[in-house]
Amino acid sequence: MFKKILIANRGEIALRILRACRELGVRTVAVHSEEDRESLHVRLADETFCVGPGPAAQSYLNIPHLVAAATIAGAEAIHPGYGFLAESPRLVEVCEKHGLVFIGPGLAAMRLMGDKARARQTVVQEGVPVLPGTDEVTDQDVAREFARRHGYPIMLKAAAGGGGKGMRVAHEPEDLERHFLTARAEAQSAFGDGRLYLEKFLPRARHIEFQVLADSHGNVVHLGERDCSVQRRHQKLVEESPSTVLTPELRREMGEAAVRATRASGYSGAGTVEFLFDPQSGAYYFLEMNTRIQVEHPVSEVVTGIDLVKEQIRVAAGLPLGFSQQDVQLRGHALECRINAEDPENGFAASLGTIQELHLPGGPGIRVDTHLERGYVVQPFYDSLLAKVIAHGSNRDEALARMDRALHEMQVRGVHTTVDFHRRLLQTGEFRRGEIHTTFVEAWMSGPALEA
Amino acid sequence: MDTDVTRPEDQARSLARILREEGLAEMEVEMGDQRFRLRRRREPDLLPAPRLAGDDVEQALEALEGLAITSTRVGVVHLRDPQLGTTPAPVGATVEEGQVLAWVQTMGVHQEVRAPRAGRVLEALVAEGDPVEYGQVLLVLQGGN
Repeated sequence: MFKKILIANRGEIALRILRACRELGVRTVAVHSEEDRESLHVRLADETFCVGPGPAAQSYLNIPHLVAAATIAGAEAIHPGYGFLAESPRLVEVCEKHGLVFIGPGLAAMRLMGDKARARQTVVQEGVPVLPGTDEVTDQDVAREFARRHGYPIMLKAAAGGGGKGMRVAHEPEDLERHFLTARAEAQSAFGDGRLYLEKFLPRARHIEFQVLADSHGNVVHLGERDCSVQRRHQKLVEESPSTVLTPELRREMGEAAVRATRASGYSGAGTVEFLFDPQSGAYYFLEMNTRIQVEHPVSEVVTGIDLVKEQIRVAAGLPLGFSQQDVQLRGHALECRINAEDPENGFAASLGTIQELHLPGGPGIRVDTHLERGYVVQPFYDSLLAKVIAHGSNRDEALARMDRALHEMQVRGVHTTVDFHRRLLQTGEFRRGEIHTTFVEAWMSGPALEA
Repeated sequence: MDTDVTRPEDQARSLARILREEGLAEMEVEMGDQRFRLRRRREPDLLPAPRLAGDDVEQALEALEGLAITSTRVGVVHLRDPQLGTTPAPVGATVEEGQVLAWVQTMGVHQEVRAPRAGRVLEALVAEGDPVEYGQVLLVLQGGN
């Protein structure tokens, strides 16, 4: 096991990684921007390095500074968390060159799964179904021909993409023309890579992803699914496990497909295999694999009882997984609500300011992962995630009741948050009945429900 | 550590310590013809206090008419010329604007730290080979209008 790890992130995930390290007896090196000097994970870390000013490009994305800090501190490994450099092959390369372990997949697996077109080819060879789609599309004639053959709607996606950036849905030929240029420009500015590919778009589909864990000894297991169908503009809002629409047979089949995809890429560490699921036909299609620990990982942790971040660190240290597929049991039902510093009454505009008052919920079945405290300043430089509230119950009804109770208890003063928005969302008939899909939130918000 | 109360930088340090130990937010002190005002950031409850931040150092420097030379890199600081072995800006030396004062070595690359204005090196807050973080004060320059 490592003796010291550098945590190359901020906010709640930096704190989450720090907690895993503490439990494993691993010393921690926190890095931070000038703006985050007083943040919680910095104060709790064994050693700290300021790596740059507020803007992430000069601090949390500054590879030379992060690696210099790790080397000076004598850390053996770097945990990238999610976002920032979590899927940066460059960081993996630099780590290798400087004798540091990158806590994540190896370079080849990250590159393969990071290239959406190559990832598709890889899983197709494993017999995993994919949506009708294209390789990289450089001109609009190819796009129009694809649309003629498969019909609208069509999704345009960035080859290097993630997080909803560079994604556009074209419902008719005029959309295709318009979105082609904007999606390419968006992909170019977000990822420095303007390559696009097309996919058939299923409007009432569900986003169901499987958590996988692989060690360096050839063991690969899945930890069941998370249903992340509740999204707004391709940003996940609520995640739950298990999904209300998967039968045990489908779960086994999709889980095995996820394991095959993971194995085929030579993967090690924690990862997520995303599928689109069509509840009408029961068909599922591979979307992509995320080669990192994800925001919503606690949902799988509470239903399986497995600490994903600790396992991620253990397998990066070369240890074999301590359990097999048969040992993984889903117990009860879990939900996660992402609480953001946004104003739902004002188009979800980012809300900046200082936390004046804070009360976090607790009690049976509630877990809150957050870096918030009174006096914390919500900065313009970073993403708007304030807290993740996770509810666990013996069944979905109990988990829902606990979540509603927890959100009622939660008090945040000083910035606008999405707490009340989540309460209303979870009380809709559609959500209660589990009749959710990837465009449900937009449909609900444009209806009369929000004014009620 | 030896402190000499007649040295202005030691006075500022003593004041900063008093401020921290007494849990004060702000204090103003007059000593002879010198006047100091130090302000401290909010200290969070329960958890370890943040380290003396850049702002506090700046406040102290203002009173000294000093200019803090900070590192813009994370790495290892060299006050000695890596090639010549000489120290271009020892304490007490007079330096020209644009003169190299030190180097910060990051992943094998030596980045020069230059004087933004002429002055005298009042103090070195780091020693040869020390690890430094972004924004860390390396040297204090005084005077040179």
